[in-house]
Amino acid sequence: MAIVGRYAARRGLQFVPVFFGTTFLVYFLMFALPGDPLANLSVGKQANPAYLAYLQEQFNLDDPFFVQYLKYLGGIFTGDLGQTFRGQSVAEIFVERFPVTLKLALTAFVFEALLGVGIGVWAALRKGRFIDNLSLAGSLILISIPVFVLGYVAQWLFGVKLGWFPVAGISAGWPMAYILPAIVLAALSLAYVLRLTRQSLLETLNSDFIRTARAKGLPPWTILRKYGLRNSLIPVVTFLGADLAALMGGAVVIEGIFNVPGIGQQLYSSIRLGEAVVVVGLVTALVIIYLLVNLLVDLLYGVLDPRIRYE
Amino acid sequence: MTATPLLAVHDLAVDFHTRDGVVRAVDGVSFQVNPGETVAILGESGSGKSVTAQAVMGILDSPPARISRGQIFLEGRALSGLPEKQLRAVRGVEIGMIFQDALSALNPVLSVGEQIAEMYRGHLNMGREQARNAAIEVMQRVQIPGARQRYSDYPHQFSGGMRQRIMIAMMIALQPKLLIADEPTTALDVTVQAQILALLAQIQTETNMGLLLITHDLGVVAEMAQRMLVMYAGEVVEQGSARAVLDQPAHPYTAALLRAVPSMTERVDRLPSIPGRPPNPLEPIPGCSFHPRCEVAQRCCSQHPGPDLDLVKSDRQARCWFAQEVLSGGES
Repeated sequence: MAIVGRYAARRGLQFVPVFFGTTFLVYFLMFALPGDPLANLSVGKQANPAYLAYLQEQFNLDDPFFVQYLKYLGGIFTGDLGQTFRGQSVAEIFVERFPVTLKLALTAFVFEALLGVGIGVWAALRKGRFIDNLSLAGSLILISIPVFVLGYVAQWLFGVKLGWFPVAGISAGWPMAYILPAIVLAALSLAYVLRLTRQSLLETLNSDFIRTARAKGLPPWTILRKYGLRNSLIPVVTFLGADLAALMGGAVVIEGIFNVPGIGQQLYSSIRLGEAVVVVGLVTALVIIYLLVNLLVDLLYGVLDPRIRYE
Repeated sequence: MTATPLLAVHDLAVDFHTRDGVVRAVDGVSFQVNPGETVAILGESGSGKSVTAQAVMGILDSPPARISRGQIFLEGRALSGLPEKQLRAVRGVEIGMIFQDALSALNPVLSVGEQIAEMYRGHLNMGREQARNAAIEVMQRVQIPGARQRYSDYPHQFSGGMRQRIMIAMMIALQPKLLIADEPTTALDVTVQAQILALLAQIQTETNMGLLLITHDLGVVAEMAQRMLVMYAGEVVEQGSARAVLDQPAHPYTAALLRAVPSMTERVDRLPSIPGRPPNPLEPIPGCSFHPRCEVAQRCCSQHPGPDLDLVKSDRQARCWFAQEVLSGGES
């Protein structure tokens, strides 16, 4: 256990260079974007020059890049994550938006994990039969269809035509408002999880230790659970972990189609407005969350596979 | 009337239904094992010896494998045709089986102790603590040093010899009447090999269990077995008392195998080998399946299948038209 703790601490240290690297890179990219953020803001109308000057000053827009970046870092270390041009603080935005993304991500993850693993196991146990072929064909279709097509079709069919779910927005709350976007969001990964589970379980079922388990006279359910699944889920957990972390980063397309006000939508609009401070703040937070989830998954391996050593 | 044998296999045939057609892997194999007796099945890869063992154990991969003929009796009770649930109560309880490579035959993600304790928990409904103690006890019986401490270690933390001991512990846990050992020492060093064989012999003396030993190693047969069967291309080509067969083979295949064993006393530049290669089971050979590689084969051998397994002399059967000649050739 002490070894695992040390390992986690060492992995935690990696967050430091990642933090500086991410903030610097994203800030630089936002700086390099063409156009004047304030001109974008006041497009088509004549803004008050005094107000524009105030914003220039407020957001350090006249400073050279390095000075801007250092001032930004200085702000972060004194607890000021910055604010939008409208004066909303980044911390506030995060607290408002992230729970929405989190609900969507976790709902999608549940579909992906339960259906992906469940159908994958079922298909493997019925290899070459109808359900196996159906799941392979179905997952191939899911992998081939672009996500926005799937999104609009689902929205039109289940939202507009059948009326089973709200067409867009989250006013219906969890779970009704989240189910449809979550399923669409999960669809692609679900297809991969299904195929990975099936393949991995089929390989495991061919192992010598499965034959041993049968020679021991164990019942089929025990053999599947303790011998088949325990051994075949290791690569599946790897994939699911990475995917959960990616889901937490928000889904620009799905949030857009179903009008879910999560992190993805916010990032999209902030990038368009050139609000560097918001983009950098949110992206950095997301990167840290991504690393944390990955660390958790790595620690989970140790539980699943005793052959893994933390060094 | 003799006593009922522990294991009796009658005219066993196993087919593999592959994409390229039906392959007969085992054809007409019959033998018996008595309590306390060691019977060896000797053969090269693909001769059907392992398939025979798996058929007895009821763990053939089916599909593609299917028992197409024959019967298997354990203490006079027919195992063939028993429902799966009743067979499960035989496997691991009345018949144990150990495998060649204990590293791949043990579950890598369960501790060795749990894998042994599973036998007690699954078959005897023991509680966790009781099963744990029983498992440690049987680990001590197979001489695993520090059994109590090593209970929660995983297979990869053991040496090859220790892993095979774990395997043996697991399979003798419920004191089976018959142990099937499928190449139990093939993956081990010679010294460790000797220890494992000694352990098996010791357990056998203590419990009077029958041992069915599957091997390609003539040395193992000589050391362990009272009776032996030689298999070639799915058929038993010779059987008899191990000592007698090794001293004086009656089938040309057995004779050729014995000539290929290096001698400790004579210096030879080149070991004799058997020309040709084992037959491809998808292309059955007309006549006796060994005739293309056989030294004594005559024209009749390629035209007529080998004779039935025939009594050549008392307690010796061989499937060859020229068994008598081979037998006396060995004497000269």
